[in-house]
Amino acid sequence: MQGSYNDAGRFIPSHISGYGKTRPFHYEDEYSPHIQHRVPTRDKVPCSVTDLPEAISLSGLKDGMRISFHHHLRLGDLVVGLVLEQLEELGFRDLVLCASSLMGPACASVLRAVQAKVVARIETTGLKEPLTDAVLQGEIPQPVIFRSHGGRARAIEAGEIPIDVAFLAASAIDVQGNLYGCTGKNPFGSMGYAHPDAQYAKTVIAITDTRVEGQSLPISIPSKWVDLIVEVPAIGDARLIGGGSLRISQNPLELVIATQALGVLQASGMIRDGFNYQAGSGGISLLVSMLLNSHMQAHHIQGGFASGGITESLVAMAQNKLFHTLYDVQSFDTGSAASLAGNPFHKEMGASQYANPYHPGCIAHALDVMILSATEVDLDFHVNSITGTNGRILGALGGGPDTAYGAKLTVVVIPSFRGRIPMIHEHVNLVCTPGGSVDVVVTERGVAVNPLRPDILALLQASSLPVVPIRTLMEQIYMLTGRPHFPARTAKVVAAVEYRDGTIIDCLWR
Amino acid sequence: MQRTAVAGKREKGDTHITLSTRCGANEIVITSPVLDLFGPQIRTAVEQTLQQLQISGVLILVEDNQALDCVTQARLRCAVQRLQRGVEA
Amino acid sequence: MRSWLYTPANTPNRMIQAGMYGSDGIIFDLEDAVALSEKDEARLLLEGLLPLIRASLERTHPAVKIAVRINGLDTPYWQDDLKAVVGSGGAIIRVPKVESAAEVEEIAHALSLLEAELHIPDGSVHLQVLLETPRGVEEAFRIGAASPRVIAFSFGAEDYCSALGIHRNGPRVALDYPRARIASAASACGIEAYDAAYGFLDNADALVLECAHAKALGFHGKSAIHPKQVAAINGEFSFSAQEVREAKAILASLEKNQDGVSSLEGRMIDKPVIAWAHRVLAAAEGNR
Repeated sequence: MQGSYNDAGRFIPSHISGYGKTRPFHYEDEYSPHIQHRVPTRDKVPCSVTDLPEAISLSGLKDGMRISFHHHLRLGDLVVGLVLEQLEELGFRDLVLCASSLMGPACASVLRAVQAKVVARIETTGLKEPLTDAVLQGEIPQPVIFRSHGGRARAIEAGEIPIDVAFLAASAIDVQGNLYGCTGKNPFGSMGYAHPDAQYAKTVIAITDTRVEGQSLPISIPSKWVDLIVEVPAIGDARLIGGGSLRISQNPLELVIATQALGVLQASGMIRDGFNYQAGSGGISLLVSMLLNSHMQAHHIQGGFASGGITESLVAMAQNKLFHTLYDVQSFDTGSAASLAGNPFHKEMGASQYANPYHPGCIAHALDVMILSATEVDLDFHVNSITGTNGRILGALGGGPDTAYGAKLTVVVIPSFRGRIPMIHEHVNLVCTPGGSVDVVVTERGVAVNPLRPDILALLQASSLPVVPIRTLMEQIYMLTGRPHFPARTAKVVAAVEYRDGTIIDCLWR
Repeated sequence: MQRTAVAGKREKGDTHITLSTRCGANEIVITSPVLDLFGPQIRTAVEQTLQQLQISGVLILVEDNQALDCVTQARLRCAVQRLQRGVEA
Repeated sequence: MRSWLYTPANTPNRMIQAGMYGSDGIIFDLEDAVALSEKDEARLLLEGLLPLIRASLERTHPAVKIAVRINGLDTPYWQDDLKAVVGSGGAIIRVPKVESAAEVEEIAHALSLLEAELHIPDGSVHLQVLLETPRGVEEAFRIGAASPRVIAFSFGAEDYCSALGIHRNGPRVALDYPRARIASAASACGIEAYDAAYGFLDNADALVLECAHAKALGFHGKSAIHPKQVAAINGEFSFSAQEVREAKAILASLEKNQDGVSSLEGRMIDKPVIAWAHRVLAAAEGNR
């Protein structure tokens, strides 16, 4: 097979079926911001249509075109299923499905659509059962393309993945056709991931279950980006959208890791007035935010902004003046959605502004600290967030590659092993975030610092933290669990991970 | 008459061993959520212990839930002792 | 040693992680945490797992000590327990419900036989004695003096309260006598004293108060039954940075004044003060 090895040490074929010619990943020192391919504003006023089939007909969608969805309704999403069923009924074929992510019931709908030949290609940041098995067993006709949130936005804006029809669920639409996420029967908060779709798709079909009168709330997507409006009985199941508060982990081991991670932040001097912070949504990351809260209050530290997926606890921190702004690309709970609607410090952030490396105001590039989780890491500090050690798909790319690149200090928090499976290996199964972006790995058994950061290493070694070379940490863990037998790779590419700048960082082989 | 003994639990980090007497050679049956990663190690651990204890004529069912090898071996030892003591499963 | 974290000896995943929570010591429990029908299972598991846990802890948390609570001398299990623990390298045994010097002598003798069998130096296995009954509390000094193997007392409040018919969570003064007697006997024997485990996990404030009280009575540390208790226990039983500085100053002034009684900042440095200074620095050293 023709191809070459990239800067992450992975072999990348020159060509991937359905995707085209590949550019292998190279470490870049910086990305010069530039204005990208812009789509002119539409002149027409959005028309209200009564049903989905008519909207699809008016959109001019044809076989082989690209459709898109956002995943802001998370596990409660009903729109993806509704639309794909309709498209199947109308006899569409070979569509490219470009989602900001796929989870919950949407995955079963997508698999069904693939089996019915409605969908031939999938582009997403992540996917779950039953798609995961289907991908690994080669049941998707073309390789799945994984992009990070920033990478997806970049590719859309650069015109590399032109969206023909974007199906955007909105929890409410007003008489002028503006889209909202914070009010209605099934509110979900920020519509950040839908911004690039709304701005650059040829046709935008907005789907809602609630029409409202006025504009008393901040508009997520203004009507100038909207072409067609469809009303349905329900866009989602409110109970499953993720309305309840994310429960803080009670796991004592996770608290040990989080405490150690806070120690890293302290010892590195990163927690100071005006610092910009983001943490993932994993259990340990949430604990770190909780500990940070206490620490900042105790030491009277006023941070800059907090960004990413916003939770009630981050809102509480902002209310206590610990952060002056919250940049929200995804609201994780009802408290957060309510805050977005009412608090002036809480701002909706589009995916491009969030993480597109070429966006002049890229928020991810302004971060000081990023707390990241992982499915595994390796001796080069490469991070995998999609597959487990045995190659099964577990998670998603999310915004990890974007924030890890941008943050001055990137800290990965993971347990040494989960069950019997070690979390540190010589080589990860799939490189998602390159080691050059990752500074520190924190486990309960030790803290490893990337040799590319001698400054951080010196600071941590001067503290009481258990700093240890990553190879030593790996061997200590293997001593307990035993060294696993790694899955054999075959010659077939079932998925590829496109790095945020459009190069290919790794492929999933089966 | 066939005798059976069990040891261990099906909880995470543990393994549940069922030993039954039979005619003929030992037979080892393993189920595990990490079979692809650690299957060979689990089998070797069981075989080593059977050899050490000089056990023959048993069917060993290993229902593993990510146990370390020394845990598997300890549970197996216990099952063997119970089988020999005639402790009812 | 400020804190000892109990972990049931029949749950492998908890045993492997037990040393990660910052306690000065961990105790694998073959007694109350293991059902009668599982005693053999737990013993074999401990025997198999102990060497690996020890080797692993030595690399990541070398200061953490490992103890095993065996079943009592009134059970048919204790001899097999001893054999399994000592045979797999265990060096500290916590013995429950000890009530007499004779019981200590019995165990000490059994250990000597085992040590000889296994060719390890006689006396290398040490004992932490659990005083959990009125008789045990009354006999404390004789029990502590019965063998050089005894290195600590641990107070067992649950059983003691049952025997007296009082509440574990009643007025603190009710347990002042056994606590003081144990701390005093420990001091007389030159050994450490650990306060009882506190089972009410949701009452963090009460835990802190109990620790402060036990420390004031002369206890060195306390048992924990959940990782979330460890930080509070360590905190309460540590000597402050100020106290460590004071202790160092005291011993430094001693070196300068080799003969006679010295004084430091108007305070007489006599034997009790020196003993206190040594105790503070020993604790600070042991906790590193």
